[in-house]
Amino acid sequence: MPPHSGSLIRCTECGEHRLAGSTTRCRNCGTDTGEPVDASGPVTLHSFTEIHRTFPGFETPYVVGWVDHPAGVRMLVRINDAAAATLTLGAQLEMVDDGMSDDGIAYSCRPAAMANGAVG
Amino acid sequence: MSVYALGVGMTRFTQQPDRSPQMLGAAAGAAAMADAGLRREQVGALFCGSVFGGIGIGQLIARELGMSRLPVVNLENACASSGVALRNAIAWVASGGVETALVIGVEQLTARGPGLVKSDSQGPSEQLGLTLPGLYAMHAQRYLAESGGAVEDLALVAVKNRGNGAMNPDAHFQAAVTVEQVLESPMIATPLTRLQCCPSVDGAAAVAISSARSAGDSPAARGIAITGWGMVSGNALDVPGSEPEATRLAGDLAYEVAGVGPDDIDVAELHEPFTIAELEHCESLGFAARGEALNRLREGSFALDGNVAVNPSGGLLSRGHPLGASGAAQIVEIVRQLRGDAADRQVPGARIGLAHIMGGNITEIDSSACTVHVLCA
Repeated sequence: MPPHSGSLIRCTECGEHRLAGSTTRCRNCGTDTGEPVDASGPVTLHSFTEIHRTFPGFETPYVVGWVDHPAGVRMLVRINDAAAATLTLGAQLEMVDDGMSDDGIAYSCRPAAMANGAVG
Repeated sequence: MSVYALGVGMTRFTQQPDRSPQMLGAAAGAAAMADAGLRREQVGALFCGSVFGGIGIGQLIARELGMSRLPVVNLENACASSGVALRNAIAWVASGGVETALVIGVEQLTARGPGLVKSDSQGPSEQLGLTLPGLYAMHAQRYLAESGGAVEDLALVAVKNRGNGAMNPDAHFQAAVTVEQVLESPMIATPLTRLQCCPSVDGAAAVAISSARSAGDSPAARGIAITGWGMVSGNALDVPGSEPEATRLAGDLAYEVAGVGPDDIDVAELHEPFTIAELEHCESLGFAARGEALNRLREGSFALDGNVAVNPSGGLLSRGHPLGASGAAQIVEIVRQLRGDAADRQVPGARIGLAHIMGGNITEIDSSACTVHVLCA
């Protein structure tokens, strides 16, 4: 099972989004309640790297990246099914709901279909 | 009130797992006091920066040095720990709280075991497998795409700094390398190869600061004035469009306090745990326009005889990076350069120097802390 990519929490008070696990309070309004939201869909690749040396327990190589989510969150994700050589900055990727997490929502981030954007 | 760096000292930075943090810290502290001509009873307070030194590391060092009853302040701020220790010591001295303070940065890394440095926290980044080289590698990918640079350009940072480190007896690596060697070393996180990553080493560095220009029994006034200081903690980076700002903000603060600008700096020690960092920081500190640091580097602007000599000590890439000790080691180098004591790596005519250190363990924040200090001969 691939590690979780980003899950998003929406503040119940002001609607600001944050990455699950990042903060317990909304940094916009300070409210400490929020609800998971559907984060699936297209995101834009800000940067990425292929990791070759890492901590014990990880299999190399693997690709991590920063992607910009339309909800207003730049999130760190694992990019699955991707050879680093095929990725370009600004490419469209897809957050895909894998529905496999204990807490309800887990995503993998994958290159979108070639027709969708700047991949290549 | 003016503040002076009266004396500096450091252990060699290298792998020395048999030396405890307090042994390393005491060796550096004693060297700095001897360099300043200070007796230990003249030291009014001790500030110790370390990441993994443990509870009471400063007090253990003070005990090693036979110093007691003085106030001891321990600071952890990731790689910037001893830069932050200096910033706090300056506040005590400049406010008249004490006349003289000793700042020590210390780290024993290799006794913790091999492998990548990892924070104790287990945030989303760690769970996804983002390493520190991986974080900087993403900066590098972005930088190269925006500036039109190539991996060979990144390698030039390592080539320059390893060349400087070859002339520094306190450095871990004391051999020059070529672009080919840098690029052919094992890939760590694309595009960063091993020789673009700083080595994990052990060591300590210290600086004695005072509101007096010299210690009472010092043969000559050798104090180097610390004329500017700035510190910020970083901005959030998990918003689309956000950019790292800590270095620019801390630098602007220090320039303003010192009354100087980037063009006045003759010599600078910058935080470059990975090659890309030096280029980014040169731009943030105003040594090059945005996207231009690669061109300035190629032209030799950052060489020992360039417009501003960057990392004449060899920097983190060559001297090695014992996290909490690196900020103090930068001050050691700048003071030696401004005294004209840097031997083969002396920057000709160096009069104004700058030290920049930053560190963080939270991926989504630019840094836990960033400090910039300006010193003037």
